[in-house]
Amino acid sequence: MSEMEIPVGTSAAAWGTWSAVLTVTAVGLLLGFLVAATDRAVLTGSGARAAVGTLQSGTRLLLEQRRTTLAPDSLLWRLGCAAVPVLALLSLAVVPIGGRTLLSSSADLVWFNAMEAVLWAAVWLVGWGPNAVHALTGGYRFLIQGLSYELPLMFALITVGVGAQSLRTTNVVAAQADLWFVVTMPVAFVVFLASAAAFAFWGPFASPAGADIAGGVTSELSGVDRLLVDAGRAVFLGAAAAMATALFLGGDAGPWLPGPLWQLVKTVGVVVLLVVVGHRVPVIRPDRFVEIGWMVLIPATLLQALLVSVLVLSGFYG
Amino acid sequence: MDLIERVRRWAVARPCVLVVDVPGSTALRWTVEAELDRRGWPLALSPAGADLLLVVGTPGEDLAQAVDVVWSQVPGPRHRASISTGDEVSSALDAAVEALGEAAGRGQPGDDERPSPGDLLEQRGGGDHMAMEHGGTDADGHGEGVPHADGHAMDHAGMDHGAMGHGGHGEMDHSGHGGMDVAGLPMAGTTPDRDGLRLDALQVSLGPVLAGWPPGLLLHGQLQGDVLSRVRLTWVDADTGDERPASDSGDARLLALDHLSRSLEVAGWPTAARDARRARDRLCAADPADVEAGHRRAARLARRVRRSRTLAWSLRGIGVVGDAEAGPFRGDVFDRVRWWCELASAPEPPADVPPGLSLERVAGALDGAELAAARLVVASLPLSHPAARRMPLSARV
Repeated sequence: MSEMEIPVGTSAAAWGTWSAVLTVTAVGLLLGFLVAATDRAVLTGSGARAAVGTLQSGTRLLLEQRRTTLAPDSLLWRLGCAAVPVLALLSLAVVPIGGRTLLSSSADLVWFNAMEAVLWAAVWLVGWGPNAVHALTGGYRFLIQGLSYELPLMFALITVGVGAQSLRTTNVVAAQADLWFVVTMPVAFVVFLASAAAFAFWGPFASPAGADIAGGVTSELSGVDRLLVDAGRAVFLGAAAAMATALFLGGDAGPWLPGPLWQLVKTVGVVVLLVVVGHRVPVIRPDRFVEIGWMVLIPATLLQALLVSVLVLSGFYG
Repeated sequence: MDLIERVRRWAVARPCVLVVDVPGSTALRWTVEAELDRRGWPLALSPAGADLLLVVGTPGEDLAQAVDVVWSQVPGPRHRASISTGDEVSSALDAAVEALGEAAGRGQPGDDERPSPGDLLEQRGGGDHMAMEHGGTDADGHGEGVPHADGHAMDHAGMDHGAMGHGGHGEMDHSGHGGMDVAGLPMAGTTPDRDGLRLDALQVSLGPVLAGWPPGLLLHGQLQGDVLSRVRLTWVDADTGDERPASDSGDARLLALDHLSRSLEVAGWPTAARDARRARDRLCAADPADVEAGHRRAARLARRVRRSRTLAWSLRGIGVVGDAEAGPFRGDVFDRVRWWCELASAPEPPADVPPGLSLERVAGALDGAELAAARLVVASLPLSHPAARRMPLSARV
């Protein structure tokens, strides 16, 4: 128990607020780039060229015209678009980078979950704003999907908190000094990754931006707006992969290599795993996913939490 | 200065392509799709996401008008090209990306040069009619007002309605047009939905330019939430262009792979859809070794699709066609996908494919379906095309 209480200063305190914020932003953008390039490589089967292609698309969107639609709700629409990447970066604030988080409170896991919950509003506004059928349908789909993954995701996070007896991310990492949480919490790990794909509406959970509704919430976006939303999704997925590394895979712990390198290796591994597995599965329709979410995932994550609670009481985690 | 121009050209060197396929140009579309896959140019799902508008084949009058509306929604820098024969695909794409680079290098027109979206509406005659059809493709004759896209005169970004099925704005309930107007469009009225609730009813048109959508098909209907009702299906240019040859000649396995790629795209499985396109491309080839490889690829894909539990679970129970008349297309969407798999992986090309279903039958299956289900049903069913249907007629004359 003793090592859990090691006080770790925030990166803002250690490196200065601005350099810490810049570091987190840069790490977030790099993670997003990693996700987008891996995604493109798997989708087009183009290998390393995908990295260049990703940069190319990003530049193209920066130079492209922004379009508008008939009678849009411009304010809320643009607000929603801008909120997606901002929330993604904010969620990264509680993910340890180089052993320190930008913010550190007794409720880091709640913060992470809260950013993702506010994303509901942001994506909904992106769908609502353009006053168009396909975009609105996509917005609704995101909410329905949210109803299915939100509770399992919360239970997965709670399980981690129970195991570490703290909601502070750095404490969670420290609590895994002897044993990675993925060993005793495999269900929570899988549910966390699936939920990450769901809140980034990516891969098997991409129906809010599905091909059957002409791109859904993204169907009316062009230029900077599309870049913000697409980049935001990628950063969210990257941030979730980094968070999964910290919560379940021991964070920066590992032999021989320096800590940050271990964290990077693990995060890249999680991203590749997520993208490769994600594209082997077709989109799961939200109306059918509700069934799995409530009938399978909620009981499964509750059992997982129960198991971990019993282990904590028996002193298994030291 | 020069550097900026070069960056701009580089950025559009691998453009997003919105493909408009004309009925009767199926084989040409296959060639184009194969070339796009080879180049790694992504396909756009909507005009907003497109840089390059590629018209494959020679569109009839109505479809050409629809293409104009779609073009008006593509953000700059942009380019529009058309391809009419298989030999010119590669050179046409080279020329298109070159022209797109030119447009991008010049920089983009400022927002002040762009007319407001409402302008197109006024040109279309505005007012109440607009509530019905925004596609410029309907037979009711609202199409005249659609401006033709010649050069830069036509820069209406973001007309929201239309040929793509975006935002058909609601028609007032039949009680009259006395209600509120928003941007010249009447607000949606309420009507009872399939569950007996009173919900807003939007009049929408889907098609003819949509990913994984049969070329030239138009769906008119009423949307409540995401549930369609009063569905009517038509072909664009159905009353003209009777010289157009019946498109679907040749190997039934190719057709099956085409249907598979379309269904898988709509079902949200892009990697499998890509495999279907690749198998189709190989099977088309002249070299027997390529054909053999294509066949192996098709068999592998068929196994993968048939075994996918997620797909089965996602598609089960959707779009059930009950009666015996439907032949092999009886059952739900997943049954049909499996049937296409069987056909695609057959060692020998089957002698004949059963004729497609009539539009009325399919429209019946779409009533009360959600948007997602409707798209899957349309992608999974072969439809009898007017060109094919007219053949015996013209033969009689």
